Amino acid sequence: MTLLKKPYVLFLLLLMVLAVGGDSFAPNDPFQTHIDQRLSPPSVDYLFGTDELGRCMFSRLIYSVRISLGLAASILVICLVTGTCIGMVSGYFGGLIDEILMRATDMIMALPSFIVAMVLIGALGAGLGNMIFVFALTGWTRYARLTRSLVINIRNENYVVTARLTGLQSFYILRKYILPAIVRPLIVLGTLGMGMMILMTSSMSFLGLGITEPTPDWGAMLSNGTTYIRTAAYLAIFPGILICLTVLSFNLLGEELKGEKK
Amino acid sequence: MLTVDHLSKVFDTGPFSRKKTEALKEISFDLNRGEVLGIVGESGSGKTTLANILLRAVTPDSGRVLFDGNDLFGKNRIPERVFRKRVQMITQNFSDALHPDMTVLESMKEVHRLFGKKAYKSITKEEVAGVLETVGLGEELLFRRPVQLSGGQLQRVLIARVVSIRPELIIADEPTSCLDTSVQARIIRLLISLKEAYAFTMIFISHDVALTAAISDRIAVMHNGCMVELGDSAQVVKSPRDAYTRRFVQSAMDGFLPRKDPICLAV
Amino acid sequence: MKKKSVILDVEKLFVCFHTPDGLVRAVRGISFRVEKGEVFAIAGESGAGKSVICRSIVNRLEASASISGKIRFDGHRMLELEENALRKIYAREIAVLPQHATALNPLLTIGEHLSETFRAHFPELKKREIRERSIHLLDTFGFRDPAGIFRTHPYQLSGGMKQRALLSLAYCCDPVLVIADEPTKGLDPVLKDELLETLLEIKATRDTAMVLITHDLKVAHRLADRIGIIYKGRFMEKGPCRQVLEKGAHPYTSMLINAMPENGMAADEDMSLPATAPDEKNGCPFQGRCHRGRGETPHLYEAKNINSNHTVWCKYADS
Repeated sequence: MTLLKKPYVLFLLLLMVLAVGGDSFAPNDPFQTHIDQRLSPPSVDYLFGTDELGRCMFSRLIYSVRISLGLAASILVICLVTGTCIGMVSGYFGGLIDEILMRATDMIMALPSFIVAMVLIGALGAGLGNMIFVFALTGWTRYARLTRSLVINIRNENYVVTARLTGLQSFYILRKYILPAIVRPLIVLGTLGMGMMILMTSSMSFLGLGITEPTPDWGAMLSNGTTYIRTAAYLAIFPGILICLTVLSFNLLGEELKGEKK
Repeated sequence: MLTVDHLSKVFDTGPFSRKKTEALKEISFDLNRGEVLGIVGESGSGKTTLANILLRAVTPDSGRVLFDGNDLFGKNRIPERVFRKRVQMITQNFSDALHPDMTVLESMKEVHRLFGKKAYKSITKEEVAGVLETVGLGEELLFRRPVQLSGGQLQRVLIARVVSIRPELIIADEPTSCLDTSVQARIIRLLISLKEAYAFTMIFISHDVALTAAISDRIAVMHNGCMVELGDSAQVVKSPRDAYTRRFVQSAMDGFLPRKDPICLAV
Repeated sequence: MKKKSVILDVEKLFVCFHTPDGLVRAVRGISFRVEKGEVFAIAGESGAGKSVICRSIVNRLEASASISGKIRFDGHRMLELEENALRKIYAREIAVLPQHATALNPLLTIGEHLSETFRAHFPELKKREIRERSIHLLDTFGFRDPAGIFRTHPYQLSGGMKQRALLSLAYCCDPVLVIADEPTKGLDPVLKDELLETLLEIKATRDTAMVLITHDLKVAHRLADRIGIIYKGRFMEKGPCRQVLEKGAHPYTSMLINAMPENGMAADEDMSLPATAPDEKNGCPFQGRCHRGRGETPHLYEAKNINSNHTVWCKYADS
């Protein structure tokens, strides 16, 4: 496994562990406020300092991994599954079904997804569930497009044509012949999409429309930190670095997987 | 069993060209149950298009195909699942006709899905091995994947797969054109013996007249989308009536090498 | 007739591949010579090692292959040449005739294909000269409208014309040797006939030698001067083409001929025989399929000369 030797893969693994183990790794309670120790700089007790309510930033960052990554991942999974299903049906059957599905996709793609998300969140109210719904609503289109073009290529492979003319059922062919062949490029695109999702959800929270207090989230923490950028810059720096590193790692992993495919 | 009536098909050559290719022009013929009909012609003569229409993979522009009196493209067409059980094909591109990640056993088993989940589940390894034996393959091949098989073996697996569905009509589109002559001879012999055993009807498409004559009862010659001659195998090969057929047979027989006794060592 | 010079000399060529399934000995001791202007055919079934021989001659085997033996071409030791030296020889001295018309770049016109090759080997030529040469070349290859063909793209040509375009590309620098790897594979009889006619014409008008790799004995019969029949990487029979194919001596040769559709397709019936049975190191590789040798105790793979240039590797040959 050469992948395991790459630093960004190790970093992502670390994030996974933090996401699963979350609170047990945090040295302090991320929700416990210490009014007497608000805005204290990094120290031995509080590795990354404390915020304006005196909560341990280090613990809050560790705890927020689960929220931020989980949110991005669940949106991504929903997008991938929906997009793949729609793309496979559209590409495999072609004709009228393809036409209808693809025009619908075009329509959604024509909308500025982030603004639509903001409007919807404004209407529906902030919250985890709404965030997932709003981003999944517009996010699946690129996966549907990619899947469709991959399926159209594979559909004309001789072994798929043979299976079709042998009389095997479409659902079986889709599951057994087509899906395994398109899984790899989808994983690559999914990994690359993960970075984008983290950025999108963080931006949403940064604007105050996503995850709300007291739940820690990278975007919200960053936004919070900008208020104190002159007096306690570390409040914005640490979440910022974390977002950067995570997105970078996912992108690097995606590129690596893409290269390996050839 | 099959009546082809004034079948025509036109293909567009491309998005920027107004030219159209007439792949088939008013083709008509009958196919009797139990016979082998050979179709020969050069590349581009419309053989494969005809095969694809008979397999219901391509829709003709005009004309009808009656399969046991039922119009293949009409309103009351035979449902897809029933049709595929009755008509099967053997292709020329056997090298990539099987799922590359499936073993021979899996590929052989999956066709039984045509008969429902229950039938598929009840197929045993021994039964598959038995079918493989009828095409002359040992059971050591069961767990191999397509890349681990030679061309002849692959084509045999495909033939076994088709035969195990017990179709009434098999359309073989140049099944041996990528094989060595000695392997080709074995496959043709195999097809003849399977035909005896399973009593299917066959359409055998090839560009090799001599080969087609060896297996077919009647031969149809195609040229530029038309069927220029249709007659008994012996008659088409020995005394062709059509000028094109004569030329075609002639070029196929050019450079004929006489049969040799297995050993004629003294020179 | 003056004595012709040997231009290609392959001596005791062995090629092995290291694969995950173990050592595959693809070519086991092949020696032959090709004289100037001569067509030498190598015939056999797929898997016999024909293509491997052909790729060894141009030193284009994959890195996993280990080669021993000598290949001398016009004074070059082909197996020891560097990439740069090889590039100078390709097309100029040894040309490879590709099997398939897909070898043409669909984005380039036929003229651009030819000019490319000319420019690579004769950098001093001017554009107009290249054009004139190309058109002259196309003319000699039987194109009715050479100037028109010069401007057309491959997709506008019919199958037979594409084949001829490939031929003109192979012969454009007037090479000493052309290696044709199954030039007629997959062609229907009419196209095959056409291609053969062209090749025969080339053979009559040019002094270019050719190594013809084929599994079609009829093609070899019409085109080749001498033929070598190989089986499992070894020669079974080698000699003048007509003598081998018409009077033939080796049981394998007659088996191949009798398997042809015109001859009733009398294949060896032993279908259960694995295609790659392990055999004794020096034993006759064909014995398992040989209708005479089968069942007897393994015998050696040994050569018998029928006459000075016709050799048979069979125990039963009476020399």
